[in-house]
Amino acid sequence: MSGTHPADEQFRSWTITVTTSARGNLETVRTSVETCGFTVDRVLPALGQLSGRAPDAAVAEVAALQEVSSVDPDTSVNVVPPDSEVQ
Amino acid sequence: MFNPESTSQQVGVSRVPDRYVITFDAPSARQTSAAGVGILDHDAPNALEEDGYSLDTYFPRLGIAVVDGDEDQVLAFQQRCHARSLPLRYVPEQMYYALVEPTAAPPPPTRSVPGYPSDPPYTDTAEHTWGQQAVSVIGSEFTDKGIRVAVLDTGFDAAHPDFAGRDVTVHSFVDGEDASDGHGHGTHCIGTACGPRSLTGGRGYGMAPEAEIYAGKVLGADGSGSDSQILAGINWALENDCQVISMSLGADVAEIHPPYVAAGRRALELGTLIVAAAGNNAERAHNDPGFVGAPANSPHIMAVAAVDNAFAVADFSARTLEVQGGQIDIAAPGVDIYSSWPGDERYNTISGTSMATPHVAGIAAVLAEATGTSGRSLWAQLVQISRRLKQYSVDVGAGVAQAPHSDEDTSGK
Repeated sequence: MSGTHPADEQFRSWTITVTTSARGNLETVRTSVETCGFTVDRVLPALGQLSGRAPDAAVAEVAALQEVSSVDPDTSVNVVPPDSEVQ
Repeated sequence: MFNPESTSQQVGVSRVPDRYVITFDAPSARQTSAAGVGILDHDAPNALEEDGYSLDTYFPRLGIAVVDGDEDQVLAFQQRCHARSLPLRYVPEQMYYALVEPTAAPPPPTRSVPGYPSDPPYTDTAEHTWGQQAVSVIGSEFTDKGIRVAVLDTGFDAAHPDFAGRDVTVHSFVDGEDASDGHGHGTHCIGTACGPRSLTGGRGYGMAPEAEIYAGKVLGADGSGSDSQILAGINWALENDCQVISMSLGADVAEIHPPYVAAGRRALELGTLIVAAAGNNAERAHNDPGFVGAPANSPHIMAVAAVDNAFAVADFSARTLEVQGGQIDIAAPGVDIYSSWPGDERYNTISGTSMATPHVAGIAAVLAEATGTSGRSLWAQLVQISRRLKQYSVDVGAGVAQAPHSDEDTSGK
């Protein structure tokens, strides 16, 4: 695929974990995933991960890259309000 | 060995006269052994032979010899070896018996601090929290000096007077918010992990008072955050060589989340231990034990449960999730925990596995300083010296985390 996607397609947040062997080439992987239509927001070299946004269609393409170990949707965590009994 | 004359009264061990077990190792079990193959294959047996000891009962792979002699002889041998930079410990040889009848286990060793109970229930005093008493941090000679602790949470009130003069680095990973704590949760957790152990005219509440604090804000003032913020915080902590990362956060998701598996593994590879709150999704009073959520259910992240001041499992504290890595690893005080709070309020008393987690993180920092260990070794040490409980391990793991003391594990002289 060319990496272009319909403008109105829903973008979601994702974390890309690269393979151990690709950890030292994170910028190269970044270029590859951006070609797939993935917008990289953060590069995490110590972890070998990239976080960013992409439509679901682009994610399948990213996940198929040899240097990519997994692509996982962002989950959210939270702590309860400060006046809650259990934190 | 089996002694046909032993009875149920002959439990435990008895000493063999004039026989000693010598271990060529560091002076303290908490220190890393420097005894390599060269020492164990050459230096140690040579020293034994020079003193007339037989090598028939020297076991080079173990670095252990069993010798005949009185204690004065063995002590003199120890001193000669020490002078040659060949540290050793010794204990009298013991005779063991087959246990022919079930016997009651001896009570677990407990540490007594003058003026404080050695067993639960504990209560806050004017000088110390019950949590400090329960984890035996009061009176520990070790502090955590030079250890970097990252707390990834809602930020930190760096102007809190109890932290004046402390080495604090803050960073916000939340768009549009600085690193200050608009919630309170982060300041409370940092207080438990790295706050003062004692305060003039007030109550001490911290574990690791000399640690370098790395306060990473990954949750906004509304208490919420996402993977990308949390992973960025972990990455930041690793790039700053933090030995311990404390994460009192999580989602009630029963599935393991792959990014945290990779992050936890990578952290351990780099010598960093991540501890995380098991979760507050239990309602035990209503027969709902809950489950360990993400990221604590990742196999390379230590999951922390909460106990109350009687060492009962907290009603809200989540139980082991039946997946690899989904177990509760350790427990710590998590009910009615007094610690620092932002602004004029200064202090607050709250509950949660969020409060148990920084107890473990702070103790991990102290243990790192005491033993020089990190990563997987630090994890193993924490588990090894935790205080065993009679509760099920699915709820409390290895037991309540304990601070190291210099007189522990030195029984080998």
